[in-house]
Amino acid sequence: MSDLFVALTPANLLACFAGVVLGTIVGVLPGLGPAGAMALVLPLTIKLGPTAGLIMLAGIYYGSMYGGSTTSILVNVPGEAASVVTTIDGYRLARKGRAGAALAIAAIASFVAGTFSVVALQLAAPFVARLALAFGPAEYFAFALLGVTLLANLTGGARAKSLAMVVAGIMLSTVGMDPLGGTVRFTFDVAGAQAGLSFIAVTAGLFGVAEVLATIAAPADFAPVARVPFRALYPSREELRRSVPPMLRGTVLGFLVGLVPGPAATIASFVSYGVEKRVSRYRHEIGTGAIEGVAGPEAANNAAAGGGMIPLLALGLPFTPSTAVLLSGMLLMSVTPGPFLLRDHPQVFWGVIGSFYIGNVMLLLLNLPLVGIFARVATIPPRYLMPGVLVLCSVAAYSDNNNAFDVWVMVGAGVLGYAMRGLGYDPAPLVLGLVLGPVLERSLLQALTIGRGDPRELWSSAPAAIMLVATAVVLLAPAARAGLRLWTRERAS
Amino acid sequence: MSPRPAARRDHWSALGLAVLALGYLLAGRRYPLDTLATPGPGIFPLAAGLALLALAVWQGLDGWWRPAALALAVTAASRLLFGTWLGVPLP
Repeated sequence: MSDLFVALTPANLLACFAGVVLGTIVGVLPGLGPAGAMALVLPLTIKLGPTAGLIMLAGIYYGSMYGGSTTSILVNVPGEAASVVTTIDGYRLARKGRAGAALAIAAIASFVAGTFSVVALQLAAPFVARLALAFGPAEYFAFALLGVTLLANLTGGARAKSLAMVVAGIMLSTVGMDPLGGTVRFTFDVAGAQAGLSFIAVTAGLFGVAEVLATIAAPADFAPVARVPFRALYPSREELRRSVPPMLRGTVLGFLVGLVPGPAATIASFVSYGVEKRVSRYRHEIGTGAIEGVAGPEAANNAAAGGGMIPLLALGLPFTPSTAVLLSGMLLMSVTPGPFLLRDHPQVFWGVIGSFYIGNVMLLLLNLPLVGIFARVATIPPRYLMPGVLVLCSVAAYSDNNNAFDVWVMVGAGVLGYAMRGLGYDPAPLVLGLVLGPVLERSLLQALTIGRGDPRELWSSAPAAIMLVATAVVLLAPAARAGLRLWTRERAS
Repeated sequence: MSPRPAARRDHWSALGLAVLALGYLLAGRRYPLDTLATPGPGIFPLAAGLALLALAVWQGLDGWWRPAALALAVTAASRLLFGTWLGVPLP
């Protein structure tokens, strides 16, 4: 346990600081993403040695979760996938002149959740990793299906519309190579589409370009946010009070989702948003610029980032691109993660855990004073801001794969996003479908193969069966309720 | 009385989604389905396309048509599940 203090040596503190600063910048700028940034600095971290090197890589990973909310709140462009849901209420809060409060709450929620997840990681790693291991393809399919069904009502709009957008996102995810056989699908002989549609390009288009188009179409609707006094940049007592319950719910939820293989931080933020829409006292305000819509998801994605470290450190299994880069870093530094990590490299294990505490404090200290600077972005008139957003989106889309095709995807997604706004469709469920599509397809096909073609394999275990029944209930209950209401009304009249 | 603009807009968007689903299903016909034991690359797109088509139809319906469609779908699914698949004798 005394190895925990290894993180306090000057070299490790410096590595932690460099990691979290770099991670914050990566999170703020859409495009590169934490996995890409970690891969870029990997050669440098090898020179630092295992402990400092891994501390720096981990700092980039959770630092990006902090920074990802900034552009979501200020310019409606998510810095990374886990911040997509923050755009819904964060951007509306910024338009109301509460950008500073939203940024500060996002930083505080990230700190609370990050710290909680480290404590939980330290205490519960062996036990919860065993639970996560029990998830086979059938359970994972049922979990993902339940997730998309529950979350389809994200924005409070019509459930059928949200579900249609989830399915449309799943359909978009089938462009490119199929996850099991490698067959190229729906590319129509366009070479750039073979790797699939870039998530960054689609997201930048649906959110950023659509916002630019909406501003061009209705410039009068875009009222620049007035500059607010310094004190008003920070959350009021009321906003802080309202943020506490969603922050705590998001923290626990995010940590648990983080244990499940897959894009945990993204799923966790969507789950948290869905939960807030159902249980929050202010649920009627969520979607119109409520602080709960920022506090919950931001806490959830940071807690999930911590939770995602458990399978990596305890079992040596990475379930996200970022933890996969971290695993390669460990192997390159001759550190083998897994059950023997604690015995063979206690300084590395506890040093990295210790750096999480320090890194979270550093991130809070870094982000809170910068709130004022970030919030000023929201006061820039659209004629200056929107061209910048367009450039940012184009750079993000192109830099994902250095592929001009992705820029066209971004433009197409932008036009689609603009049309969707006009027709009352929200883009967030589509993004969720795009993320979960490959997970659903892979787990469904694997389960069918394991069951030798018998679909009963999908509900052969109790957890999978319970989750599938819950999915059916979630799907059918509102329709049955509506039918009953209609019948009662007809009888009454 | 003509339908409200929002309802008319929803009908048109439902039609657009249905066309998209049909186009996707047609484009997906070139990928083999194979068998359930060795699923081919066409099986998941087929399921996704049918799901979108069903949702588009659902969205295009209103009033009594929705519960009627739901009842029909549940009956057909139950028949398939209990009668055809599990072999439970139905009255």
